[in-house]
Formats: sequence, C-alpha cells, structure tokens
Amino acid sequence: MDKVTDYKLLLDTAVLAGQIMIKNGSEIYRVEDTVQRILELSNFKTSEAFVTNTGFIATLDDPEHDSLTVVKRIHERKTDLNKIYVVNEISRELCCGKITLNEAFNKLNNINSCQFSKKLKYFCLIIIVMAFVFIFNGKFNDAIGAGIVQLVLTPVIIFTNRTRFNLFLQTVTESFIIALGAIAVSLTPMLKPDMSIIIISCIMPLVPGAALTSAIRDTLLGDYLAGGARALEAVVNASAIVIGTGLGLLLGGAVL
Amino acid sequence: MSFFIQTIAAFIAITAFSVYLEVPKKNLIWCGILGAIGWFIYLLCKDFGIIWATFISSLSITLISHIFARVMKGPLTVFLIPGILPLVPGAYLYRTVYELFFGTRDKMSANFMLTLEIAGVIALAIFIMDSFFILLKDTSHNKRT
Repeated sequence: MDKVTDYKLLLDTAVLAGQIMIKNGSEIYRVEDTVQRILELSNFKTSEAFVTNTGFIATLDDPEHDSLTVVKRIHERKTDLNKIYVVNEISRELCCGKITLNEAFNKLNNINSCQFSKKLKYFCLIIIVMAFVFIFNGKFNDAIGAGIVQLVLTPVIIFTNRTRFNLFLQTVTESFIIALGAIAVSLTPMLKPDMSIIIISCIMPLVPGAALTSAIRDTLLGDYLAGGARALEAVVNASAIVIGTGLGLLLGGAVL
Repeated sequence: MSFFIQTIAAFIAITAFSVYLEVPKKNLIWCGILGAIGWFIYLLCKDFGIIWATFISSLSITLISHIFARVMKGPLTVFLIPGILPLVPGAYLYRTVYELFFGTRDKMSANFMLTLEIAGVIALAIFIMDSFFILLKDTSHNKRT
C-alpha cells in the first residue's frame, strides 16, 4: 500500500478505533493489538499503545519527526458486539491495504448507529427471561409470571438509563424491582408461579457473564491490570444483584 | 422430552440475548446454535455433577466459539459472551441470597461456594481452551517462517 504520510490522521484513526472498542466492552488485549497494528503502519521507530479499561495512551516517535502522544479517558462502558466486529474488520482491511487511511477514518466515524432498535431489545429481554424459565425446568405459568415481571421492569430500565445511574445502582434497582415483582406475581391466585424460578430467570440478563469472560481472557494473555479490573467489575455487579434481590426479598417478606 | 424443550429454550434465549448484545446480524443464528449445543452438553453431563457438567460444557462452548471465529473471521468475543451465558451461576447466586435471609448459614455458605466453584470452573475451561489455541497458533507460525 501507499506509504502513510498523514501521521496525525493515523494517530487519530488508531485512537478512535481504540476508543470505540473499549466503550463497547472489547477485551483489552484486542484493543491494544488493534491500536498497535494501526500505529505500526507509520513505520516510525517508536509506536506504543498502553490500554486500560478506563483510558489509554498512544504515542508515535521518530528521529525525523516530532513525537505525537494522545491520552484518552473513557467514561462510559456498555456491551455492543457489532461495533467491536466492525472495528475489527476496518482495522484488518486497513492493515492489508484494502482501504486507505481516509476511508478507514470516515468508516470509523460513521458506525455510531445501532443495528437493532431499543424497542426490539426490550422485547428481546422479555423473550430471554421467558425462555430461561424453561431452561431452568419451569412451567408455563412461571414463564408468564416472569414475562409480567420483565414487562414491569422495562420502564425501570428506561428510567435508570435516562438518569445515568452508575452500573452498581442500576443493577441494585433492577434486581430490587425483580424481587418485589416476583413476590407480587407469585401471589396472584390464578397463576401461582414459583417465585424462585421467576427471580432466577429475570436476573440472568443482569449477571456479569461478559465481564467474567473478558476478565479471564485478559488475565490469560498477561494483561493483569485489565483482567483484574474486569474481575472486580464482575464481583461488584454480582454483589449489586445480591444486595438488590436481598432488599427486595426482605421488604416483600415484611410487607406480605 | 424436557431435554428437547430445554435445548430449544436455550436456542431462543441465546438468540434473543445476542440481539440484546448487538451481535452482528449474520451471526445471530450461530450464537443461538452455540448456546443450544452448550446447554445440551450440560444436560448430557449432568449425571457427573454440576461442576463437571459446567466444565465440559464450557470447554465445548469455547472450542466451538474458536472454530466459529476462525471460519467466520470475526472476533471470538462475539460468540463466547452469548454462548457462555446459560452456564453463569445466576441461580446459585440467588439461592445464596435467599438462604442468607430466610435459610440457614450452612446452606448459604454451601451455595456461595458452589457459585464460586462454577465461576472458577468456567474460567478454567476458557483458560485451557485458549492456551491450547495460542499454542496451536504459535506452532503453525513457526512452521511457516
């Protein structure tokens, strides 16, 4: 491919790629690898990337040029696997020389939209919990109960997303509502579903499975800082579920 | 019969969860199939005990995710995160809480230990399979150069 001459743009592209990947919950070693590969296109003597879960530093240096360094802090995090996939594709194409730097930068700038609408995602959450009832050997009335609880939970999720609660408070609130809702639903005379199965199914989308897997893979590849941080995230998240469900069970048990 | 229902349910749950996690559209079905296979293997091995069943099932899920990632040229995370979800010990986490408030201390600690053990076993399985693939990559790389 053509020799890269616009070093500022190259660094910006690398930073943007890294930023999108961290924001959407990629493993840290993958981010570091991607940023490093893009930076190496410059053929500078020094190109380094240092990535953690909350921010990263990328630098380019060469005897013939001034050194360039970018520090980027990342505040919000969620899981969006499609964006990781797309950034991966773009960086692969860029490093093979299939697309130019400008094209890559434009493509990275234009992947802000989500594949699926929010409504579809909330609907999918209801399907997830209902399917999980059957996975855990529940019966049809349990599935309906779980569906109702998740339906009641939907406005709560929308509310907590809008108020920008941190992840801990968000999980506590949601699991609190789940426990209360499950107790209430289990008392309806016609349905009589099993409270435990409803709560277990409803907390499945909240359990920190993604954090757990990423933590393991980062730790294995020697990125102890990132792995440890993700492991801590998993523990905090699990404790949030414990606290929320516990409070809900206690309050529900006291009221009824 | 419950075998069949649970596997179908796993397929539906994991496909829906993949939509929630924004898995790329063309990979949605494959994530669902991966989840169903994983849960099926878990059910098959359940006679050996929960820990063994989780271990063997996570090993197979990680193996299949690696194969999928190579065949479909995508990042491994896309398959592994949705696939591993049914095995994550949410049920035992809940039982720990329940026993903490309404049960006995013994039962609580037993459930808590089980939660930790299952999480640890999943970690171990991913560790083993990943190390195996890293080894494979290294040796094939050395042959080429």
